[in-house]
Amino acid sequence: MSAEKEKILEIAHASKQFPVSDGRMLTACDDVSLSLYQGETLGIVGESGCGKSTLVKLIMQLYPPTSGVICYRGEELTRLKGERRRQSRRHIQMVFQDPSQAFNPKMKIKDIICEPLHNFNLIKKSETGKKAGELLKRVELPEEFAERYPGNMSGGQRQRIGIARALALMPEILVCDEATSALDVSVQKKIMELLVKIQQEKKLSMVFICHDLALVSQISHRIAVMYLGNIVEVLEGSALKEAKHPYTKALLRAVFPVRTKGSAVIGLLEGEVPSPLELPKGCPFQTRCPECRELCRQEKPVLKEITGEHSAACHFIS
Amino acid sequence: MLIEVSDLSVSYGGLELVRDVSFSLHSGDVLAIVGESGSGKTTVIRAILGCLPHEGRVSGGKVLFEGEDVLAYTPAKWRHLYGTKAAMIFQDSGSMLNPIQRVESQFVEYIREHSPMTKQEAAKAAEAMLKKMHLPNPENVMKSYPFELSGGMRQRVGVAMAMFFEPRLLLADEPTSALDVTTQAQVVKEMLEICRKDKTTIIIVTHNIGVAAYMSEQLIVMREGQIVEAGKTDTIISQPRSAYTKELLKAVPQVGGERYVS
Repeated sequence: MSAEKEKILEIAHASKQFPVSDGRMLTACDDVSLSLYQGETLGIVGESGCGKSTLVKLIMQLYPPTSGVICYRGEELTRLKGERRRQSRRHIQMVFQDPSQAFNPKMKIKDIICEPLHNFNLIKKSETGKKAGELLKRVELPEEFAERYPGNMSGGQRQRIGIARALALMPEILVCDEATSALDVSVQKKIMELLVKIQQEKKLSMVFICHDLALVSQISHRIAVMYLGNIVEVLEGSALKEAKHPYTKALLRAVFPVRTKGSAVIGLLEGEVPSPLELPKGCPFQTRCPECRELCRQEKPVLKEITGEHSAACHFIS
Repeated sequence: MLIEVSDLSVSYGGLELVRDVSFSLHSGDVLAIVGESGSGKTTVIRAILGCLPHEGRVSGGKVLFEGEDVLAYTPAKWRHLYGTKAAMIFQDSGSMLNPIQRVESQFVEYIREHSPMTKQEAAKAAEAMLKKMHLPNPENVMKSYPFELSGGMRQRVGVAMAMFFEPRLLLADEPTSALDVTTQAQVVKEMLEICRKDKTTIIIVTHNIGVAAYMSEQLIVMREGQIVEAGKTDTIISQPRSAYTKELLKAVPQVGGERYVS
């Protein structure tokens, strides 16, 4: 993404800590800074517990950051209150991971996908059917689905409903949290194609959270890799193989490719992710890093630029 | 021939959902069954294990284990066979384990069900097995409740329990689907390592074709309860014949593969 692109969302030094029962603090996001540009897909990858979902919830304003700011088009979302804050939610919408749990099973599809419009008084009750038809068409489902209930649809169809609902308010930013993880590969492929098509039509910006490295690299313009609440590397989607950070490299080595035997070498990353309750001093990755040295235990590396679109947080990358 | 499945059909409440599945495996073979949800892949191994849900029953075909027809077994004979000679790893070992019992007491109970060991001996042997699975601090794991362990650790406890009696046949139902890539790689490697040593035959059911390609020599692709394509894994991966397999392989995301955006 070059400089002429418009910056639409900026997360600056956002941290989120949760108090745990014994008085300690669990750090889910630790000084995260990221920007999202118009029409861009930003992929976020990392293992479970790395803080990806917390970051999404910060973006969605489901809870406030402990420190740091999140700006949408220069406006500090974190400081908005009341009605202005409610109105700001129109611009950022979300598609959830599990389409079987994202809807009220007793609501008809037309009511589900038009609910956001009613919330903001954008259409009249009598227009629901017509609007629902339009939205269904946009996600390539037949209009008859408007009268159905979520229970009698397949997983892929339900995820399309999730997308239709998120698109109803014509948001500028679409946040997908593991939106295709519960789906079969062939269904996943169709959903991805749909998302890309809609993105191109509407110049939509997307934040795409996923634990599947391969999938993220296919859909993202830029990828941010998270580890233990920190962004450790940001790079272009097409350049994932040129990753420099030891953690990103380890992630790549752990993917089983669809290839004949012998041609795939799988590397292991030993150990487990340390507890976010006791963040180590220095680099978060030190306990599992094959290249860890004394400096890493003392000083925490900051994210720094290597080339234009590529930055990493490691002492030994320059 | 260790296990021979011929023309296996399974029906649920009169509806035949799996039709004419046949394969045979020698000792040490690894077979992967891949397919999308609803393709019947789990039903096949559940039928072999004799643990179909209530409405399900085998409506045709034969399952021979070491030459014996297991479908004609009495429940007592099933119990004798499964647990020692054949074992299963579930998708989420967390829900297989009792949440209010420490790992130690469950593991010991399982061992003593099938062997005359004393409690102390069993506990010692269990700990050694956990160590073999490269679990850090096996003493601590033994004293933990399942919820205190991470998903990867729980899964390794599940593998350790299944492998304890060095079974001849290991059935694995999506053993790594709930795990992160790094943990998945660890568990897959550990499973293969232990099985190679004991010459265990594995049938692994998975939707992750990458894992199937890495683990198995033989591959079965299923769709809507039937085998679409079967043969050597490498052959199917490099030269798929059926249109469905081609489609399926094409849909799997690959690092460095085709991209949706430029």
